[in-house]
Parts: sequence; C-alpha cells; structure tokens
Amino acid sequence: MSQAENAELLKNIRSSEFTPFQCIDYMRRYSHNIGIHHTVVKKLNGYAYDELEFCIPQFVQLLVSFETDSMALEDFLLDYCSRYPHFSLIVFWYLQAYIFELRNDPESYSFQVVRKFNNKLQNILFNAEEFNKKTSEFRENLQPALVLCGTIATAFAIPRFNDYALPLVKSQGNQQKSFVFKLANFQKALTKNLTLKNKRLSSETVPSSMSDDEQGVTEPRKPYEHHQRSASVPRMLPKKSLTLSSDESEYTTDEEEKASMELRREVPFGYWKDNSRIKKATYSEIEESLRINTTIRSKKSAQFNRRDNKTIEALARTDQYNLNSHSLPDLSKTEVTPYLSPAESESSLSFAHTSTEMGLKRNLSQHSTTARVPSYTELLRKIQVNYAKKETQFIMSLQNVSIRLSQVPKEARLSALRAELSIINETLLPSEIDIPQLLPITSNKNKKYHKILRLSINEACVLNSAERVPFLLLIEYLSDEMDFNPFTEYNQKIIASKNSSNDSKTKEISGDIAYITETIAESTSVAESIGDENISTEQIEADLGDLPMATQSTQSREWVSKSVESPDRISRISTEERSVTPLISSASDTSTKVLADQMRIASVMLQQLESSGQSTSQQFIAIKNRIVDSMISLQDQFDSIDYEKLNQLKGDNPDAGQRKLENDFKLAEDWNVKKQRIRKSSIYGHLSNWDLCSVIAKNGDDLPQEAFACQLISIISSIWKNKGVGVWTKRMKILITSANAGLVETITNAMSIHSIKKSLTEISINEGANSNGRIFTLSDYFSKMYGSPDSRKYKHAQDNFARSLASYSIICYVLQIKDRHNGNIMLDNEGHIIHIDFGFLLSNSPGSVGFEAAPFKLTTEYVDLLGGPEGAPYLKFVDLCKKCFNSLRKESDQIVNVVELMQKDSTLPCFKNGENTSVLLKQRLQLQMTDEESDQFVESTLIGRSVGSMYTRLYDQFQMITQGIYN
Amino acid sequence: MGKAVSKLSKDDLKSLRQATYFDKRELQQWYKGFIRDCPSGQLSEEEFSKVFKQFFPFGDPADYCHYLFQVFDVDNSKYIDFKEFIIALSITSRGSEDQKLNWCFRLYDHRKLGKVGYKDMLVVIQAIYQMVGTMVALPEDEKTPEARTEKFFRLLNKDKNTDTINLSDFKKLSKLDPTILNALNTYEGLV
Repeated sequence: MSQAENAELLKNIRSSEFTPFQCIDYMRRYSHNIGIHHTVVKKLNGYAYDELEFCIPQFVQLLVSFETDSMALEDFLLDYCSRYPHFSLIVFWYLQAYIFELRNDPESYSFQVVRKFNNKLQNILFNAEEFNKKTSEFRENLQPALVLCGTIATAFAIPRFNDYALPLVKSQGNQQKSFVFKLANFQKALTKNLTLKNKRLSSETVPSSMSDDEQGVTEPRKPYEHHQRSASVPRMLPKKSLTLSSDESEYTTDEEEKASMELRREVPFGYWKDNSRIKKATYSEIEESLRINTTIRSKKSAQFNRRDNKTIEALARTDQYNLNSHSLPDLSKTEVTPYLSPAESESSLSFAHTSTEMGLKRNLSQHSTTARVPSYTELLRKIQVNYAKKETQFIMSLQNVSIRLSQVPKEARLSALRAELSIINETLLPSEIDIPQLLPITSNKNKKYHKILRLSINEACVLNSAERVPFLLLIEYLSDEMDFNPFTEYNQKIIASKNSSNDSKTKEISGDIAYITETIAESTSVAESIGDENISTEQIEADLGDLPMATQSTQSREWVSKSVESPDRISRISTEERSVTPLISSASDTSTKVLADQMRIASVMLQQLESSGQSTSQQFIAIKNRIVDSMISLQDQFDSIDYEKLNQLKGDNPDAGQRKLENDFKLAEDWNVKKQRIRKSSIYGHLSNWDLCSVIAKNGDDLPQEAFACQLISIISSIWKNKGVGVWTKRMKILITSANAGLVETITNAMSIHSIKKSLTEISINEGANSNGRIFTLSDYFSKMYGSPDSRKYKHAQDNFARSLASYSIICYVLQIKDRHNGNIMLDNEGHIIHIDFGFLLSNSPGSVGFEAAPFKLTTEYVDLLGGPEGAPYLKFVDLCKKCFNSLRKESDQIVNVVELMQKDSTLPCFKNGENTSVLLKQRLQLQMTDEESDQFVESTLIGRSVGSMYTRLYDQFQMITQGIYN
Repeated sequence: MGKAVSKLSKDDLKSLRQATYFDKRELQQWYKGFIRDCPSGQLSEEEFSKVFKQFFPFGDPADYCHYLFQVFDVDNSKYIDFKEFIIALSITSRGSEDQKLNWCFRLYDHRKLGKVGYKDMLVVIQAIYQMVGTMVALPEDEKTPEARTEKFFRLLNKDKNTDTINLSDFKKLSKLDPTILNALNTYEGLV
C-alpha cells in the first residue's frame, strides 16, 4: 500500500460521514494492518450505542472469521461489553451460535478465538469479582516490545506521540499467542502423582467427562451424539483432579512444561472412538493455562496462595456443588444448551463455575475482615452480574419450553405451554430483567431499563408450524423501571442479598443436599415399589441434573420418568394409568404451582409413552387420550381471570361465524384493545408504567438467517429513509439466543393474507352468501375494512399498500427472497403489506420446484387493488419502485459489503453460493446502468415480468393444493 | 547467541540477569517469545522496519527505523539478536531516567561522536516527523522538524550553526521540558 493511499484512508476514517458499517468494512479489508485496525476501532467509540448494537453480528463475524494480529476489535468489544449489559448478552448469544457451528473444528483459528473471547466475556457477565483484577499484562510479544522501545526514543522529538502509541502497545502487548513447546525433563513428585491419578480416573469414565473445561468452553468438542444421561457424580471426579493438576502446573512455574508433558502422555489411554477429540480438548486446556502463565509477572507468590486455597476448597466440596446446581444460577450452562439436553448441560457445567466462584468468594470474605469498602465499580459489577445471570436464566427457560413442547403431542401442547410458563412465572418472575433488542432502553432521558413482571399465561398460544413449536408470548413489564445505579434503594437490596447469600451459602448447600438425598431415596423407593430393579444410579443422578426450576416438580418428574424409562414397559403402563388419576383429580383445589407441576408430569408421561414404541396399541391410545383430556381440562386454570367479567367486557354472545372469525383473528386483535383487556385482568395492571409486549419464541436452525435477512432489510430501509424515497418498510427485530433459538418481535395489528382470505371466504360461505365458494380478493377485504374505494380511509390504506408494496418488491428482487406464498405476507390494519419468514434468500430457494421465477410477486390482484394498470395508486407504485431501485444502486456498497463480510465461512443456507453470493447480488443491482436505463429496467424488466406472472400464480396454486394456503 | 535454540544457556542467563532488570523466568519467557516471533533469532532492518509500518501505517517509518536499528544493533552486525533486544527493552521499560536518556542520545548521535550538531539532529527529527505523520497534533513552535530542532538549540542558548549538543546538554533539555520526561516514563510498570 502506498503512502498516498494510506493518507486517503486516514482522511476517510476521520471524516464525520464515516459510518459504523464503513468501519467494519475497513476492518475486514485491512485486517492485516495493526495500525489501521486500531485507528478504525478508535473511531467506533464515537458512535451512538444503538448504531453499534445493530452491528453486533458483523463484529462477531469479523472477530471470528477474519484472521488478524490486531487486538483492537477484541479489546473494544470486551470494553463495550463491560459497559453495556445488553450489548454483552447479545454478543454472548451470537458467540454461542458460532461455537455450535465450530464445534467440530477445535483446532481452527476461529474456534480458538471464540474460545478465548468467550472465556473473557463470561468473566464479564457472570463473575463479579474476577473482573476487577487488572487484566492488562504485557506478554512476551516481540512486535509491541520493539515499538515500545521505538516510541520511547521519539520522546524528545514528539513527546505526545507516546500518548498515541501507548494504547496500541498495551493492547498488542497483551495478546496471547501460542507456543510450540519443547519439553524439559524435570518433574515434581506432586505433579506426577496427580497426573497418575488423573489418568486412572479418566480411564474409568465416559469420554464426555474429559471435556468439561473450567469455563465449559471446550464443551462443543463433546460429540453431539453423547446424549445419553450419564451419571453426574462419577463424572465430576476426574474433572476435579484435572482442575487441580492444571492449577498446580500453573503454580509450579518453572516446571510447567514438564507438567504439560506428563498430562499429554497420560491422556492417550482411551479406547473410545471420540477420545482423540477430547484429548485435544484437554491439551489445549492445559496449554491455555500454561500460556496464561507465560505472562511476565514479577510478584506472583501472593496469587499462588490464593489459587491454592481455591483448589483445595474446590476439592473439598466438589460433590456438593454438582448436586446443588440449581440453587446457584450457573450461567455457563447456557452455551451448552443448544446441543445438549438440558439435563446434561446443567449438571455437567455447574461444578466448574461454582467452584471458581466459591473460591473467590471465600477469598473475598477473608479480605473483608480487613473492612474494605467496596468501590463503585465493584457494586456496579454486582448488579450487572445479577442482571446477566437472571437474564440468561430466563432466556434459557424459554428455550427449554420450546424443546419440551416439541416432545408433547400436538393436542396437549397448549396445556403444556401454559404449565411451563406458569412455572417460569412462579420461579423467576417478576425480576430485574428485560429482553435485549426487543425491549430496549427507550429513548427516555433517564436511560432506564424495563422490568419484566410476568408472562400472561392465558394469552400465550402455540403457533402452527411444520415440525417445531414456536409459541406466542405476551410479557407484562414495567417500562423505564430499573437502572444499574448501585445506590438506589432497590439495587442496594440486590447487593445486600448477594452479600448475605455468600455467608449463608454453606448452610444452603447442606440443606439442599439433604433435600436431594431425600429425593433420591424417594425416587428409588418408588422405582422399587414398581418392581423394577434395573434403574441404575446413573439415571437418578442425571435426572437430578435435569432439575427444572421448581424443585417440587423435579421430584414428581423424576418419579414419572423413572417409571417409564425402565425396560419392561408393558407391565407398568397400568401403573401409570393409576397414577394419572389421583394426580389430576386433586387438581381443582390446588395452587397454580401444583397444577403446573402436574401438567408437566403429564406431558413427560406422554412423551415417554410416545417413545415407548407402542403407539399403535389400544391401551396406548386410551392412556394417551386420557392424559391429553385431563391436560386440556386443566389448561385454563392457570391464570386467575374472571371469565364472567371478561364476557361482559366482550359484549353479547356473537354468532358462530363471527366467533370463527374472531378465532382466526386471534393474532390480529387490535393491540391496544388486547392490551387493555390484559391490563384489566392483571394484578399489576394498576401500576402506572405497566406495559405489554408480544414476542414469538422460536427454535430451529434457520433463525440466524432470519435475523440476517431482517438486518439487511433494515439497512435497505435506512438507505431509503435517508434519501427520502417515501416508502414504508417494517423493521423487524430478532434476538438470537443460541445457534437454534431466539425471540422474534411480533407484528401487532396484522395478519397474513392467507388468513384474511380464508376467514372472509369461510364466513361468507357459512352465511350462505357465497354458494359457489368464490375466494375473496384483497379489494373485497379493503372495502370491508375501509369502506368505499372513494372514501378517504380507503384511499389512505391504498396509498400505504402502494408504498409498502414498492419497497418489498425491490427488496424481494434484490435479495431474492423466495417462498412468497400468502402465508408469509401480511397486511396490517393500515393497509401496509409486510413480508415475513426469510428462510429463502440470496442463493437458496425452496426445494427443486422451479416456481417463483418472477423478479418479485406482483399479482393481478395487487394491480387491481391499486386501481388497475392505469390507476393513480398503481402509477405511484411504479414510480416508487424506480426510486427505490435507483437509490439502492447508489448505495450498493452498503449491502454488498455486509453480504461479502457475512458470507465468509458461513454455513447459512442463504450463502450456498459462497463467495459468488455477493457477486450475484451486485449483478442484480445493475451498477453499469445509467439512471434512465435503471428506470427502464424497473418498469419493463422487473415489473413487466412480475405482473401477473404465470410463475407466481403457479406457486400460489401449488401452495393452495399442497399446503392449503389461500391464493 | 545468534543461533535459535529453545532455551537460553546458563551463561547467557547469568549475564543477562546482570545486564537487565529481568529475572530468570522472565528472560526465558521473552526468549521464547523472541524465537517464536523471529524464528531465525536475528532480526534484520527490513523486518524491523516492517513492524513499525504495521503499527504506524499513516506515516513513513522507514528512515526512522534506519536510525533506531543502529541504536539496537550495538555490535553493528546488521542484525538485532535477543541480547540486544532484551537490553533495549529493559532500559526503555524498566530502566532509570538516566539510562533512558543515555539510550535516546545514541539515536541522535548516529555518527557516534559523543556530540550532535544541528544537521545530525535534524535528520533524525525529520525521520520521526515522517513516521508520526498527522497522527499527533503539534504545538505551534514545533510544527516542523526544523522548528523543533531550533527550539532545542534555543533552549540551550546555543547557536545552531556552530554549536553541538552533548549528553549532558541533552539531559538538561529533558529537565527543561517536562513533557519529555513524562513521555520517557510512558510505559512505567507496563512490562
């Protein structure tokens, strides 16, 4: 690169026009130049929070997929994470998705980066004490050391240059690089003993136990297939010794290499096929601890004592901790969830985290005898950690609900959902949490966060979907309620409770152990009474790890699963039958919690029945129906709603057709009406800042792509907004919470065109007004909603339709959004069209069916609604399309660059074409055309080929025939 | 020294422990790092210059690196070996003020005469200005390398055309300008 080019770069970077996305683009293009990287990153600090939050997917992609020696981005992200709780969580969840993708490639640069970063981020999120340590250390890195010397020598000429260079040197000096170790031949007896012990233990246990890293980050290496519920107690033992030995190796500084050699030699004793991978995990874990140790520290001895303490303590308590997993909200488990059953994740990860935590706390309490007053930052950290823990726990529970629901037969899902949600209400809410992105800080001056009160049980519903079980969730919250100021009364209480729980933790633990032992005894005895002696302790332990949030339910759930899981099922199906009856008969007069527990038991039973392989037998069906019936009879008892009052509010009994419509309009009920209705029935409704938000919890691996599509649409929409094009686009928000789960913002006051047509048509048939079954058109709907086509209301809605249709048409063409049947297109109550569901875009399309060859969907029905091909609204639509396309061409860099960035090493289906994806995108934008040519292109090629396209019609007909989606 | 081996020998360790502020363990660590980042164990001026280009891409560090390289390369072998590197690092990061000043003076005294004339000083300061480019805003009377150099002579009441600056003048200068002392201590406690 020439001097002049670099000077130009600097000028650009310093320009006030330089956007965050341009920063990201520079970081990608100049990833190999440390100086440029640092300069660009410094610029990032000047942007507003929202702008940077929007770019999180790009930051993470940059960090993971673009190799660099620069530490700038990593340091910036960590710093930003420690300052902004929402930012840290969103980054954290995105990382989990990457960890999942990279799990089979632990040697890769990407995985190593993610692992290191994730460790540091977890410290920020969940470890109030650890983070306060000074983290900046100068490691043995030649380059920054040379620069350090070089800048000192400039002190005479330009003294201030050192202020400029210091952050660079500091940041790069802190970099952890790996060594290829050559081993020395020196050994300590202690290390030897430990490694021998370690070897012995490791050969005794299942392979998965070896990969339990202290932070749980090597977890992903655990093969996916290891789903079996392995015993948690035996699994903990080897880890204990492993932790100890690695700690020891750290503290016998000069002998560290020996230790690592020992460990390496010991591990390869497995016969398991997967062991090689796990061995690697162990290696790098040890290496990691050695690497940390290579930091140049002059005074280390104090820390050794501390570590020693911690280790011994950890040793002494291992067994207690892992049993106690549920009472210490351990958040490292979140990251395992995507690919492990909740059971395994909870039990396997709790130990590592807890032990560190406890060790440190012990240390802290020792310190506190010298009456140290905690600093502002320390207090702030406590509140932030409290928030992060509760938030991740909440999101985790929602994910688990999805997983559990998918195992329950369809007809019982609503009941199961309500049961699960009421458990969440009971155990977690109200709490000082919100939802990043979906419930952001409102632009209030005081910058307060919202606080979730409860989930509205009776309004929650399961949504139709092919395989997965998304559900609609209404969340009651208080707007602008909390903050992170450690000196408010509320936050003082949180801090106080944290402090006191430290002191009482020991008691708590022993209490819990007593309880758990009891549970074990009980469940064992139940199992025995059933006459099955084949239940291994393994199963019992594993199920304890599977503790749901409410302890009582564990007990019963345990009991159920035990009775079903054993081999000779037939003999015991009758037992189950007996057990259902008492459970449910007692329901009417018990509390919500008990109800919920029973519901969960029932659904677990159903699930077990289903998997028992007897789904055809008469007996099976009878039992199943019975369970389902009782679940359904219970489902409405969760919330205390006064039904009579509710009916009064609703007015007179509507007739059958009307009710049907109401049902179909379930999602479309006017948002404010719905809100008022829920507010009236809520115990919190009287609070002045009460509010309601509606989200869909989804699981499935296509969510990251959905989120990316929404982001692209938002970027495009901003371009048009800045250019004043005057079109309308819905900016949808999706929060990714793991590789295959997330929360999606609900579009209120809208329903799909399919539902509109279906319900209108069916009503008219029921009323006898439509004997030949004519399918209603959008024009019919608009007339019904907005009155005569000449009315102002109608014209306004028509205009909204034109403005939104234009933007979505161009978006669909440019991004090649496919699968555009009427179930994926919505209309809101103002006439706007909204596209949803972006499973197919850029380079993938549904199946091999060659429909949807038109540039975008423009049916004759749309044209009719816009007043026909000569109508003013239609002409406006055409004009807007031209403006949209042309202004997008002018800013093509923005979207092309983002796609270029995100497509690297991506496994998302929309990047099936790899590096070609962005090339094709660029081609579609026809950058070589003049403005006139571009207008011509839009009119004749895009609109001309789309209008009434045979392909579009065929696709709709195909959907009608195969999926029953109205065309 | 010179050959890349995995560990420092006992003798090397012993002499470096005396020559630097690093202890045995730190020396070994830095040695490992040095060999990792420069596997031949010998750093050429070209590689040296590349590093600065990486860190300061918006200026041109080539000239400056030429002078700086000579400060490192005590034995004039055209390569920087570990010993030369670690001694420089020891002085700049942990050394006393006096040591740092002595070290810096060698940069300007590139003709190794023990005294520096206006022109000798100017070329070095020019090189530094070239590297820094527009990254740092400069005070009015230090805008150009010439102004900066003249200021030094003026502060010492010397004639730039006839007089020279020796080491003790140099040290005097640092006392006259507190920002220089500050800059010299930038990395105090970092390494």
